[in-house]
Amino acid sequence: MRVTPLGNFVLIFCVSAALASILFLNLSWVIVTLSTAGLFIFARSKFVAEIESTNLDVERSILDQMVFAQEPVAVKVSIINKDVNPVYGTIEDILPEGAELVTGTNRMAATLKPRTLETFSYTVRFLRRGDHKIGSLKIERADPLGLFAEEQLVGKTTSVNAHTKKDSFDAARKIGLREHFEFAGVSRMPAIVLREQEFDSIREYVPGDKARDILWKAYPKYGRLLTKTYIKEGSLQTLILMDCGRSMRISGHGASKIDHAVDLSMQLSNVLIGNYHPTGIAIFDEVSIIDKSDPALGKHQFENIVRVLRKAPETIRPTPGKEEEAENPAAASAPPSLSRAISRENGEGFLTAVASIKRQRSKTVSVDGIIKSTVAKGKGQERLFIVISDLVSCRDGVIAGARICQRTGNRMLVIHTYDGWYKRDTLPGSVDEAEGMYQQMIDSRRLEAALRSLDASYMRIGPADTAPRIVRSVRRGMAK
Amino acid sequence: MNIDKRGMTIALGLAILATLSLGQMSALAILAISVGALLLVVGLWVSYRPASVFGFMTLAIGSGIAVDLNSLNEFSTLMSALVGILAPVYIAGLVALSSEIEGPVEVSVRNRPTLIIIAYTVICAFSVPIASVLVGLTAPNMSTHITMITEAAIMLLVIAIAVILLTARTPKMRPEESSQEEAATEQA
Repeated sequence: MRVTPLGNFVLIFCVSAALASILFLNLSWVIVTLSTAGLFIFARSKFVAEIESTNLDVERSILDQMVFAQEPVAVKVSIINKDVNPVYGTIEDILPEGAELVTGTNRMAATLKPRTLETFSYTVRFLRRGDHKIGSLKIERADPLGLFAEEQLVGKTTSVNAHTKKDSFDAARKIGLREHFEFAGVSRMPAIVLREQEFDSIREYVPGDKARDILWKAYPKYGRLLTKTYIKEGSLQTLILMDCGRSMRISGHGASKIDHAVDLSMQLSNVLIGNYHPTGIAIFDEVSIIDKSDPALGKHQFENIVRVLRKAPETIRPTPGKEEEAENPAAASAPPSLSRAISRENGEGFLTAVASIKRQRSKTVSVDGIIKSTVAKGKGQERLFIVISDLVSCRDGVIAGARICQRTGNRMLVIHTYDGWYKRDTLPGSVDEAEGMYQQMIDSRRLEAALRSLDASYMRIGPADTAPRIVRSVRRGMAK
Repeated sequence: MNIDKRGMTIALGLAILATLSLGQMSALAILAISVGALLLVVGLWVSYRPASVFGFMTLAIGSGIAVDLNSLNEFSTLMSALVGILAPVYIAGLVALSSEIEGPVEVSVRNRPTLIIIAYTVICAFSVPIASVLVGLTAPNMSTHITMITEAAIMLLVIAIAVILLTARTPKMRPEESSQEEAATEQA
């Protein structure tokens, strides 16, 4: 509780009267001091009693069913004063960091009369994807006599989960209609579409070819018969594995890898489902699988995938002056041993817990564990695993997963969100930086070579790479 | 009991009459009291607190000038002080500080703040006689004649201690008001 300027003025008057009584030897001023101090005490006691008896019921509702990043969201706040005393003051709904007010106001000066309802509404825009918490309602109240003020927090914090940008959903829908993902081969699950065969190429007519496969339009032009060839299209069960580790979440000066990965996962899954390939998704971090949706078809499968992607953690944007340095690429090939890392300075308890998890060799923590369990359930069916990761924390797991895929006859596509292209959009400023970038590229090339030697497909992408480009690249590579 | 602006004006008028009847009517005192009362009434009726607070302070100064007290040990003088200065300043102060409140103001004797202030006023007002009695009891051979400055010092000391003790209490919040989290319901 603090004293307002008016309260300070009354106190100064009180002290001045006391001094005047001593200086002028007049007892009347002592009585004036007594009465002024009495007013002060009365106001404070009354205000304390009012604060203690405050009974406000706050209800906050988000009026939009779906909340998207960078789209305005309407919020309505209702306050009921259940007490017999009125509440004077300014009411403010505390907006979280990363949200901006669009229309209306989240702050109003009001007198909450006893047993009445007050409402106000405003529109807010969340700038980034993820979980946002609209804090409790802050009431800067003043006592009725204006001598004291107090800040109170009333009501519950409301948690709002903002999806990725609405444009991404529109892009996913358009890409799904436009792009086509082919898989040449026989699968156990026949395609449930009307077209079972896709045009492949043209060759010379051979006796025995069906009349309907002959390209009759070319005969007057070339003077000979040509036959159209087709490939049988089958469906391919696909599982998208999206890395949500800390290195993916940290955003430097440029774009955010995890936000890009969320958009790509959504768009790729829409393309795959649109082409009748059962698709699922699993998002994981360094220690566990956050959520998973098994490959399936159906009109609600895309919604299931979006629901899983909502649980992807939000981007960490380091504060200015305390930017977190990414792992040194030169040292990435020789990670420090755990025994050296476990020291009193580094937090013994936490590192001991991490070491114990590593010793347990949990089967479902890393990428290879997820692939192994999925393959084991697959009963021999060929699958495609699309891994979207920056390959910082799960590099070994991805290589082990590629080995499992090679051994079991499954396919893997690694989409590497290359750290160097996300972190900076300018040329390196110093020789050391340039050397670091060069070393990073060399390590990436080595990893690419290792994965290709295990028959895995590899793509290195940056923030400008879109799903259509990736799908076309995959089509060119995977069609063989 | 609810009291509106008309009632507050009447109460203020009665308080000023009490001051004028018990005080010495010097020109300065009359000027201060009349200016203060005018400012207070104007501030009250236009709901402008700074004007009414300034009027209250002028009125308080006028009351202090008007009523002359020789000693707080005499009952008649003490009553003159309470009726001529204390009560009018209390009433004027409450009226001035309530000038921006719309609607009637609730006045209740049975609530805790009112009881606290009554107890505080009685103890502080009678602090000098109580101190004299205590001195007489503990040191009967000592003279109980207290000079004016000593009386002022005793009362001011008691006022200071009372203000510190009575303003030390902080409000306790209701348990339902602690922050809890709830997820906004969303339909996919």
